[in-house]
Amino acid sequence: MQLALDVVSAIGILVIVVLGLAVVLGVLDVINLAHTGFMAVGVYTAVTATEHGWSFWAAVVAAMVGSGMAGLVVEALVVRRLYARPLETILATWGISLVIIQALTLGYGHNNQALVAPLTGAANVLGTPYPAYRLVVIAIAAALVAALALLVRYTRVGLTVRMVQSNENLARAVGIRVSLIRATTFVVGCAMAGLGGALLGPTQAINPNYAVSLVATAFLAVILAGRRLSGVVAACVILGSVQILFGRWANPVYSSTVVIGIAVVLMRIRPEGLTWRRA
Amino acid sequence: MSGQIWRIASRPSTYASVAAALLVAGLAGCGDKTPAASGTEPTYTVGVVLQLSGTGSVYAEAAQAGIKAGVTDVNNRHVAGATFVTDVADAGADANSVTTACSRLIQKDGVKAVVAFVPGPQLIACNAVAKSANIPVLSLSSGAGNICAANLVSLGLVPNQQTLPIVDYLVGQGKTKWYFFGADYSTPKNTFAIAEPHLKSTGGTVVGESFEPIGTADYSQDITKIVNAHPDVAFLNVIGNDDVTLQKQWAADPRTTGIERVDILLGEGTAKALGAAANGIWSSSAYFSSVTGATNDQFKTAVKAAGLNSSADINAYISYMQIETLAAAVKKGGMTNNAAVIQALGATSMDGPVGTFAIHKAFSFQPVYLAKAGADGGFTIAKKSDPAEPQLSCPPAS
Repeated sequence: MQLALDVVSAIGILVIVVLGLAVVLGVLDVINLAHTGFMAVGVYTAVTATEHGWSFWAAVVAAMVGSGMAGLVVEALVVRRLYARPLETILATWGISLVIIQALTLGYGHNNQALVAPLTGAANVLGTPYPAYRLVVIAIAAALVAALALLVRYTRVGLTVRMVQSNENLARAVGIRVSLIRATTFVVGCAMAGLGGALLGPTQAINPNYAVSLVATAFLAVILAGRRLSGVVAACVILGSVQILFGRWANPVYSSTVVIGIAVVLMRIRPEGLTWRRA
Repeated sequence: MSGQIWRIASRPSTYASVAAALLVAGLAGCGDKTPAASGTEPTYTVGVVLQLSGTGSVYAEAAQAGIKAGVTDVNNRHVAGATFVTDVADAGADANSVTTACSRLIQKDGVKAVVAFVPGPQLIACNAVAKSANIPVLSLSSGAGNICAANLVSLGLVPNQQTLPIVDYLVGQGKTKWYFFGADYSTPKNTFAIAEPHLKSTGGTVVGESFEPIGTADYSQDITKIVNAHPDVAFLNVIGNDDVTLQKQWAADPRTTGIERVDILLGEGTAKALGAAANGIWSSSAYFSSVTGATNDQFKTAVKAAGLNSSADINAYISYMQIETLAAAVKKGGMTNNAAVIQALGATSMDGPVGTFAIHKAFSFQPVYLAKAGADGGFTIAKKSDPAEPQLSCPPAS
């Protein structure tokens, strides 16, 4: 049971990191190398909010708003000019991540910041004690996936986004404001990064290089996933499980290498993503 | 393909992106220099190489404050017969970046000595540049007593000095079953190699040992492994920001209750940031801010004046002593004779903030304090051990 909880926890953390990335890549074709930067904006916003007496959950909302606003500025000033130029967006978002790291260093210094979890202690899962906050993170990850799936599948907004994703010109021809959809999607992706940053803050070292060690597997997952939400979940399940199980039963030193190896093999077998279906 | 690349390269937006990225990278990669002295004393430029980015950047503020306080002190007291100025370079996070930083300091900027605040693998890379120019290097890292060179002195404790006293102390309290967990690089492995036989010789047993790569973000399955081995003590030897992540996750896990934590790499500033998550961590160090005495009070005031917002810790102390030690050696050896400065460094014996500080066999020789962290991240001293001679394993060529 303990092992199962560790696996589910790893998958939950990965999902929380990946979702924002996947939204931006899936709809906009932008590989957002500034994702960890927006996570850092989120967690520093949450730290600042809690220092000013806000509750943790209010600080999480503030983190989403802060990262979303930062995303809005970045989209308007930089990313908007680079859509459909994947190589340039990679370079530009990498530069933006450096700017964010340096800005946070100037503002807060190199030292670690504190963000205390709202729940301490254990909860029992079928007789197995497990950190209560980790269980909350798992539940939030599941809720985010469900909400996103419902949004995309059953709402007019989801339909519009899917239309822009599949054929921009056609969407424009039927009166959809593609530029507004793009900007909104980027802002939502950044806000989700901020949400992830704040949620994971109590379990991670909080410094200007925040979440860098989380994001390598996240990028693999998002590339492996293809364009569907189910692919994102499948990729997170595969990579998160391999990471934990290999570390448990073999040598954790090599688990990252094994994760990369499996991702490469899967990409070779299914180059369009895990949930791609042949036409 | 080449046509596509050319089209991309010819766009103004590409130039703008590249220029912005290079500008930022340049700003991040460059260090800074203190202004040259304007008095009558000659200037002695000290290169400072430390991690301003990457996992070790957590130590940067304390190190910089210690160095600044040290420079202010030696210049005010005219210790060296020269005015010390510093030239700071970012070591980055790997051997290549530190080689670039040290090459710049030594070959381009012409520093007279290097103060290195980097882990063992980076120290080896930097010292390869310094050794060929016969530049004295004063290092925080001792490796594990196995990084040795004629131009190098290490101010950090070696494993037998830092680890064995805490092993003896906790085994003496009946904590005999130990689990060793570390980052996957040389220093933790060498530390365990020294600690394990000593633990067994004192009646203890090793119930498990495992490693994780540097940069690990989720330690849940490692904690499960440790808990399942049922140790009395978990000896956690992970560095920098990874250490913060591990300690947060350990403290939040209810299964770890009752297992003593030892973490000899945890600085006090970091422990303060951990807050309640640091509660109960045992550490051993040459310096804790809670050591009582007027000289320590003066030191704490000095590093605070130098810009340290958090508690004075071992990193501020070592970096301060690097400058003080170098200044005394320059006074003895003369500022133009590197060989004499290196020789003088090896014979260092001086009063520091927490008592006598000496160099034996090119490594530090000083008392070790054992302390336990409270819920506020502050450490309470439990015992002071006498200085122990460093046990070294230097390669023959060094």
